Amino acid sequence: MNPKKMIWTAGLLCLALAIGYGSEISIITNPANDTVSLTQDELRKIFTGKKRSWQNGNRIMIILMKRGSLHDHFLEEVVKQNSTQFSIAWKKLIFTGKAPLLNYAQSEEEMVEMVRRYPHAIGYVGPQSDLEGVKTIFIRD
Amino acid sequence: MKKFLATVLVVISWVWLQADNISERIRLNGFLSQGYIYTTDNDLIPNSGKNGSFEFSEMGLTFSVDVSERLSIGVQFLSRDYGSVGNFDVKLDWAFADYNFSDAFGIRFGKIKTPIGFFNTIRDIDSLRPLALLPQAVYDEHMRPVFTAHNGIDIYGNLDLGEIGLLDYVIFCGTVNHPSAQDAPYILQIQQTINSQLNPNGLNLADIRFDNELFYGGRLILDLEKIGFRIGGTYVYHNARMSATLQNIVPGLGLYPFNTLPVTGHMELSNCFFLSAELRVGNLHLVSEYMELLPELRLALFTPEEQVFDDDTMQGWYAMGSFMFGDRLTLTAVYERFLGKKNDPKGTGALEDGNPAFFGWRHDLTAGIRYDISFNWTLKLEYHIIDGLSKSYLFSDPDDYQQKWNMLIAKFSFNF
Repeated sequence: MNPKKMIWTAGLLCLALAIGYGSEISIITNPANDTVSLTQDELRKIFTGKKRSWQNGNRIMIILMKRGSLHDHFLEEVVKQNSTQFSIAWKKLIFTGKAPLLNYAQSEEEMVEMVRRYPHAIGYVGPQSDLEGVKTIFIRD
Repeated sequence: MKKFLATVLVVISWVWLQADNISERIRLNGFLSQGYIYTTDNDLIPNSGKNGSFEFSEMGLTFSVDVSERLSIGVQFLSRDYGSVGNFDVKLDWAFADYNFSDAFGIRFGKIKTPIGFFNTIRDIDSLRPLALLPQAVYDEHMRPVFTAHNGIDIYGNLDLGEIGLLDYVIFCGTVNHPSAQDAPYILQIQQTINSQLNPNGLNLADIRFDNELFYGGRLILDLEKIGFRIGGTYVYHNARMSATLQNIVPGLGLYPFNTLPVTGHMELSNCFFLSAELRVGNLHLVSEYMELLPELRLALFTPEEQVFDDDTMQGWYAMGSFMFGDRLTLTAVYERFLGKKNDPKGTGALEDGNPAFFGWRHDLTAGIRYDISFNWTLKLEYHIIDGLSKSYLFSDPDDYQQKWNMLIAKFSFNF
């Protein structure tokens, strides 16, 4: 492939990712959770382990995708870290005994299923996911 | 102390057994690292100045479990080798129960890593540090046994300041385990400091041991996380009872071992504080920390009253900048300065003690590369340009001390 084609292909892939996930990452919780909206700051605090309780005092259960483009995009957009920085930040908590248990989903379907099952869970999915049985959180500025 | 740790382990085991669906909530993690240190002159660790040394490694295993929404327990075992220290003995690194009432208030009980500055709690886990060797001006390996962990209680919390950010606080109180001199270079240094005053009078102090009396302190960090800025301070107080043996030096014969006298004293760490600041903007990471430590050594030699032998304030600081290219390659540069006596930058006190003036300071300019091969594997390479030998002379040949020396460190690490 010549360099021009490579650049175009890379550009189109980035565009596809941006269209696919850019503003369309949905933050989901269990319908029993009375939180309806969160700010970007609150989301970042939750997914970096700095905020561990919902407003009503219940402990937040974080569900992450193991890895993949949705996970990377979520980290970039919401947590403002790359995957290595995110991994190091959590390992700092794990190896000092200060991390809550992290739960991992292998697919978006499993992410939705886990959030549906656990009342205090929070997770994220892409635009194609079936959101039946979970609640989408409105993100305030 | 052993009784205390045994009690902690029994409590942890009991709580563990009480938890339902335990297998789903157990977490097992571990880490392993192996390094190589080569110094052009002087020996940071034994033999590092000849062919280099591979005696620079750590390995650990961590078990933790969320017993309930609020209660978690965990244990970490650590085995390390740092020159003549450690020698792969397996030690309990930390073991505690943590009850979290809310984000703003929680209690930990057991053996807990002491939260000093930004890096003290993770000083043994290579993959979490930017460089293989933390800046020694602040995170001194010789003093590690005093600062690494305490047995006792922590009260901690995270106050949400809304738009401003978070205020992270922790108050700790308990005791610390002082190891034998073989595992604690600071004991050898204390012995040298005292003997530099005693030897000219025909006396020599040996077999120094410490029993802990009190250890407490606190750390406060303001996290302006919206702009990636953290600023904080740590205060530590420690008072340890010292016991030792006083020997006679007979002119022409050396030590006279048949006329010894037990002596007691204290080591009090007061005015010990650390200031920390950090800025993260995208892939740029800037950190600077400052430390002052006043270790007062007192001995009751021939009178019931203790006499002060050393009460000089140590001072250290560093400034570090890192930039991450993509999500694998990180370049880091650090400049650090340490003074054995804060008000003596020219080493006059070292000269008075019969040592070279450059025993009074240590300046280190370091450049390092870190490459994250994957989430689990990390490779590091760093080069130090050092001036001065303060706190780094213990293993060097006294006939060949050099003021200016360089150091190369390579290290790989694995974690899961």
